[in-house]
Amino acid sequence: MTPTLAPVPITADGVSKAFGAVQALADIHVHVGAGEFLSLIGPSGCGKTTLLKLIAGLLPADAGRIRVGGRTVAGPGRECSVVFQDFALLPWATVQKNVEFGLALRGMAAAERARTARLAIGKVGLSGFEDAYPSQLSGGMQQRVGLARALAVNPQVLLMDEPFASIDEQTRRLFQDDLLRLWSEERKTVVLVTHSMEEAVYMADRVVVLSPRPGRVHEVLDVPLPRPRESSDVRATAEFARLVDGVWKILRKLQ
Amino acid sequence: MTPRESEFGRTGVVAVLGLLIVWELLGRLDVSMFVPPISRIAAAWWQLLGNGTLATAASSSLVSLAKGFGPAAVLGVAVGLAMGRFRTVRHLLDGWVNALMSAPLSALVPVLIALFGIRDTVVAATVFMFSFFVIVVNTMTGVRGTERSLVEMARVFGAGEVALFRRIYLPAALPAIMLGLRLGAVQAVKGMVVGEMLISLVGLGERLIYYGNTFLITELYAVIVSVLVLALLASQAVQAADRALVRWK
Repeated sequence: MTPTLAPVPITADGVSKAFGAVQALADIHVHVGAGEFLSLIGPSGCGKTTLLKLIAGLLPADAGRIRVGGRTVAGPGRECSVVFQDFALLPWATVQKNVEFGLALRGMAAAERARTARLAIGKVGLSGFEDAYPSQLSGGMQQRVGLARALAVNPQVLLMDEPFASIDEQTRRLFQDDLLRLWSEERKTVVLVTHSMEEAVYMADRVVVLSPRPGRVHEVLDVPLPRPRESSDVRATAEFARLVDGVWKILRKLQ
Repeated sequence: MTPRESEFGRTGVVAVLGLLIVWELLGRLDVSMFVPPISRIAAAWWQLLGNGTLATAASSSLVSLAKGFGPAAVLGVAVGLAMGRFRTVRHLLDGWVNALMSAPLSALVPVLIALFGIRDTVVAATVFMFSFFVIVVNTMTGVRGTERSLVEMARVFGAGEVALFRRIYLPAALPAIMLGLRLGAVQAVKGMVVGEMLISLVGLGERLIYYGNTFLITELYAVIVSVLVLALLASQAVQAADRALVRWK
């Protein structure tokens, strides 16, 4: 297994993006530190998913530039993995083959691929489900497959587009804690797009609030909650409530 | 097979048996010379099978069917994939495909006869023409229905155009492609009969024309039944391939 690569920073410098006449993002400046966990939140239509796709290299920016580590983004790169809102699993492939997908595209030999994928499947707690098809799994389990696939290629940056949006509350909390645990073990730079204020605060070191039409960075909030949060009752603290309320007060003005 | 499917199958068998009994009764009552009893049709069918008439005609028909349907399947899927993936190709061909799919293609058979002469090549060409477009359209629809996030996911992992085709678009479109091939196979049998009837030279179609013109009605029905069976078998064969290929559904 290749050693975990050191995480890299992400910088967006004056980034703009329009779709036809609609200005989705205007003059975005964001810096995500190496190994930082950043949440992106904002009203629907503020372009948070667009920003994530720009970082992933799935869309070209109209103006400005994005750097991931030493590379200026001009297309998808090896540093980044993406976890999709709708899981984006191949319905015709087993869990094992789904997790192997990125490895196969990057030319890893079959035996090593199988071993690496099994390891990733174990990390997300799905050992024993290697031969299941996505349709046989619950939503939460499907997204765990999505996460395993993203982690299998050993990325330095993990981009997550509302990964827990379609998962029920209990499952979501367990999954969030597992993600935090994995993150503390593997130290990747994470950008999490979410519409949940609690989730944005609970997970991140900083929360970036985007304003809508056109999307701009409205405010950046620090989350000084101690870590590890997954093994404590952070959600029950007054500090947590105060931070979530802070995000809400900003969002309310933006609606 | 799911219980619902087998139940449907049972109802279907009952319906067909009912129709056959009514037919037999009408035949026995001698309502019309065009409704001979089923038992006599069966006897005629058995006789045509025994003296080799059906085998000779059917083997000629099957060769034309294979010659026409094979290329239609390969080219149809290729053109459908290209149309589904590339907007320019789609805009270029969409009008033609739509026009020719809804056109009464039998009208074009005389053109084929003018082109190829009265030969069995015309039959193969007719088979191609009848089955090609439905395969194209289904393949295209399948490709266009591919989840966008699957494509994005593959691109994030560095997939180029070839990998996208092989690993995303083709497997995503496979159920639609198989449906297109199934409909195409049935269309192909239609094309085969139409072509053979119009050139009146070889195959089951020629037998249809001959028995029809000579008022050998029981023999005519025996050949019609053979054509029906052939169409069913063609459709079943593709369905079996479908089940083997698309196991995840």
